[in-house]
Amino acid sequence: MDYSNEALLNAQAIVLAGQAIGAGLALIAGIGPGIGEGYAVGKAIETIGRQPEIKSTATSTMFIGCAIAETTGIYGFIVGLILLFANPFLKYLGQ
Amino acid sequence: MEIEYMDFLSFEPSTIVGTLLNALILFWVIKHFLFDKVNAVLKQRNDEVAKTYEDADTALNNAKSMETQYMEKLSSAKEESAEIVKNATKKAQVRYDEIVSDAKDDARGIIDKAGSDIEREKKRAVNQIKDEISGIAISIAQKVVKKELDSRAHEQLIEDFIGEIGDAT
Amino acid sequence: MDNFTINGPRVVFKFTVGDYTVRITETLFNSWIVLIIVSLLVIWLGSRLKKVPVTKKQAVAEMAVNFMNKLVDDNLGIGLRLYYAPYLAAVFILILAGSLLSLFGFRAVPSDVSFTGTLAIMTFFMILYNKIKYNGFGGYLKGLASPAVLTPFNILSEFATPVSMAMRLFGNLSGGAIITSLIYAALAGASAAVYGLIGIVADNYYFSFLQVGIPAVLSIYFDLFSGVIQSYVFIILTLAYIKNGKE
Repeated sequence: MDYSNEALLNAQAIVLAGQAIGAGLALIAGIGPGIGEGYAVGKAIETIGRQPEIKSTATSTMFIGCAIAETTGIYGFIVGLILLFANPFLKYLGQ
Repeated sequence: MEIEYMDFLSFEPSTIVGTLLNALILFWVIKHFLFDKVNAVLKQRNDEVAKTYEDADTALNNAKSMETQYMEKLSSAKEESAEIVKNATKKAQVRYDEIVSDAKDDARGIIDKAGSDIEREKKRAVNQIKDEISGIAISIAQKVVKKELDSRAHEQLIEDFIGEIGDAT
Repeated sequence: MDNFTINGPRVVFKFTVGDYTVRITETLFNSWIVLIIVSLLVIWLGSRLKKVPVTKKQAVAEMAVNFMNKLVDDNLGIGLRLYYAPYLAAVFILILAGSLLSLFGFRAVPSDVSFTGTLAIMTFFMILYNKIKYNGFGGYLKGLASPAVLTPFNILSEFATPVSMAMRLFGNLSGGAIITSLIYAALAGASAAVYGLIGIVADNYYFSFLQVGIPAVLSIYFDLFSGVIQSYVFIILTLAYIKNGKE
């Protein structure tokens, strides 16, 4: 690839900007688990209020459900972190 | 030596094979050294508990059957004792009757004997009295008639007379 | 903070077999540490068991075994505990101890996608085995193509299961590790700034006093809580998928 120095810098800037924007967009994935977990916890509290005798079961089930629901958020978070810190696309510029 | 890092998202074949082996080794270790042993111990204990319960059940059943046996024996013993008492009572009754009848017989014998004794005594007394009376009568008659009678002939006479009197009485 | 990069596991040592380089990474090395410690612990726990428990050690061992047995019995039905319970216990303890290693400054074992991927692939084959065992191979294929239109999606979801399991574990643990190291870097920067404020010339070897204590709180969440929850979730999901596969 035949870039002049300035062109390379411009290309790097575009890639970095794209990565930053991508990271920001990736963290939108945090909305879903937030809503879902909030809903799950609310339901769990309702259940505990109605049937206090199954408190421990409800709590542990809620935690497991939250951990599973968190997965999509974690995916977004990982993608965001990779985009921010691992700079996966810079190597395609072929410096 | 330069520190070499893997990529963040990298599949390293040696890690994959090693992890597989690790998991299998750990599985074997946990199964062989923990789960098998603990399961065996738990099974032993459960068996023992079950056996204890079984033993307790059999012991209870034994005790119950023995109790019924004893009850049967006890009731039969009661019957037996009642029988014995009844027999004894019967025997005693018989004996009592015998004794009483013997005693009655004896008493009757005694009474009879006493009666005959009395009769004899009476006869003897009567005879004596007759003799005395005849003697007295004779002496009275002697005195009355002042005449010596043939005592034997008169005696005969008087005796007959008294005999008539006695028969009449 | 300037040149903060996300790295994979460090290569501890490497050797070449023929023309292929075998890299023993930190993940494998740490999981060997886990393997040795857990094996010794397990052998100690399983030794000298008495019919009538007198030691606390035996009570702990029985509690653990009963817990796993009950989990398998509840989810898969009676009679399958012989192999599933120790397998799940092994996976659980491997993930849990591997993530707890990060409390002692090691790299958490599950924050390597090779490790979590391997476990997920094992789970995947286990699910496949159960599906084929209980439905027959033809029944399994028919189940894949049951609504004929959705066949590609069914096949895709078949492979999505292990990927999702691997990525969930990997994402949680490595995310925690990354955040922890970000915090460390930030605290180092903050310490340097404080040193600069009070006029001490800071070189590369100064003592970052802010790094004491504060990361421990985060470590409680990311290493302890997340590790326990995620390892439990992993075996629960394994059980749930196997149970699904049986039906």
